[in-house]
Amino acid sequence: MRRLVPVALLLGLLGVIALRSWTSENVAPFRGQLQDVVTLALSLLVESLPFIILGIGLSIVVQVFVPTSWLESWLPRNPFARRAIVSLFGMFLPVCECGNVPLARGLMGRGYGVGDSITFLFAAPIVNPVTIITTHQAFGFDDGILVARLLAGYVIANIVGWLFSLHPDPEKLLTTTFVRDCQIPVADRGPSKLHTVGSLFVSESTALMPALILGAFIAGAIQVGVSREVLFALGTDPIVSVMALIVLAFVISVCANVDAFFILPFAQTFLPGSIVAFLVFGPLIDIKMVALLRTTFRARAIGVMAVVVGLCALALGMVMNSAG
Amino acid sequence: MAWRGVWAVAVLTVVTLWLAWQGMLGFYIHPRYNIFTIVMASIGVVLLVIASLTSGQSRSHAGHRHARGPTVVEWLSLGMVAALIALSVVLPPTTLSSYTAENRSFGTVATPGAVDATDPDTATAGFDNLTVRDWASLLIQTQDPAFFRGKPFSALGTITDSGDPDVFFLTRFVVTCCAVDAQPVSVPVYFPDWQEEFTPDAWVVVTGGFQVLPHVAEPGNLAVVPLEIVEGEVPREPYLF
Repeated sequence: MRRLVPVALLLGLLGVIALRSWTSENVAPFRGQLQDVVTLALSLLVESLPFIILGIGLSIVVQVFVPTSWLESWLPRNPFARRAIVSLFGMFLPVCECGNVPLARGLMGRGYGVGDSITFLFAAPIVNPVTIITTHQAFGFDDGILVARLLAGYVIANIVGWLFSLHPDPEKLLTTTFVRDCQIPVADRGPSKLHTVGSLFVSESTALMPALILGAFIAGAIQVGVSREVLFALGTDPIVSVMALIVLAFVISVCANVDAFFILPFAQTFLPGSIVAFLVFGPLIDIKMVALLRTTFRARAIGVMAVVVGLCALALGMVMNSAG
Repeated sequence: MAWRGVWAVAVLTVVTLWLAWQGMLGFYIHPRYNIFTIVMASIGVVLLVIASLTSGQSRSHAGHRHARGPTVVEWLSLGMVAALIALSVVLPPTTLSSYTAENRSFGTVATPGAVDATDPDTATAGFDNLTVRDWASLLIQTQDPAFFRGKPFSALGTITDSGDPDVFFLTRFVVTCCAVDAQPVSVPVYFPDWQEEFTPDAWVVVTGGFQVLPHVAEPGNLAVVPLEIVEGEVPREPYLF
């Protein structure tokens, strides 16, 4: 309890500073922007919280109630076939990308390889049924956007998973905190399964929530700070427009389940390849996801993921724009 | 300090359930997620209770493994939660401002509304209940003044600066998932020197009809000429879905 006193004092002080700043006349001209940052951050948090709880819940179920032998027994031994199957797990888990992070952590905690878990993590937001339905509702089969999104998401997830499976020491891709957590046997977390559930909930929420909150505020601030006019001025160039929508996908951090509806109004301004690049890149790499991935992977590993996914999305978008 | 994440879950869960209780989740997320959000927040409460009831034995069983200091990210996020709580206490939930409406007005070209201008029945359809979104959609579909002639306009929205001292935009945000993806839809309203009487972000109900105004640039040269503008109440669901 003694350690909570300075924390409580700090929180109180920050609260007073926030209140004092808000009521200051100096910030009056920016009050609308500041209010929007708070509204956007809170919106991201309220929208993400259920998925995070669902992801943590599924992660706990996988770690506590599903036997390791069952998880391993029906997967192929060949690594390519194995990842091909793992990347379809998302078909049965309609969880958005932020909920997949705790689940991927749970799979690694249960002995899945880093490459396998990354394959699941990157394929699941795109191949899940909700994403497929909403993308179809938004675009139908026009311009091959739906098919390109599904195939590209599946292939890119397998490429990234394969690349990371080549690492001679996969533990070096992970944060030391996560590796340490994985080394704790589930049975050591408490005298009963209920205690283990409580312990896992504490450790997972402590790992994920700070990253989610920070990511939500950064995403909110950047959304308010970055002018859309600059991005959309680049809309008609077959190469630059792909890059512009990749940047937009990174900035807005919108959920994969509904990003098709978000980008639909821009479909007449941007070329189909650019739209597909947006729909492929955003679910895998955005501000919120980077913050969440950082709870598990080292910065360098996330950088490599972002570069590989970005190059794949760029190539796909450019090829589609050229072919169209 | 291993409980900092649990506290964050607790705060956000309470905020979520409070917003649901007050009927204000619509300020942040699409209503189709309300039940899912409430159910998952309730499951979060159950997990919080389990964690608190089992904490003593779990911690002694797991020994010192969680006894590490908080990281910079964790301090920052704690500070943000504190700031969020403080601001939430003094500020009621509100919609996105006209600043974001102006920022996001670029690039959008079509937002489906309830009325199809090419439908022959449209000419005789009732126009009393159309929203700003429907009218904006109609303006994108056709700029033919004959189509709008005699059709009464009445809609609720917020005032957004158009850059023209004699014209403001009556604006609503359209949301597909949450406020993050909100897109503004607007209808121009002709009111000379409007800033002397109204301020941006004010909720108003505009009643009137469309007329051709040569100097109005966006989205064409049609604008609402109001018969009446009255202060409007913020709706319980301020976004259009």
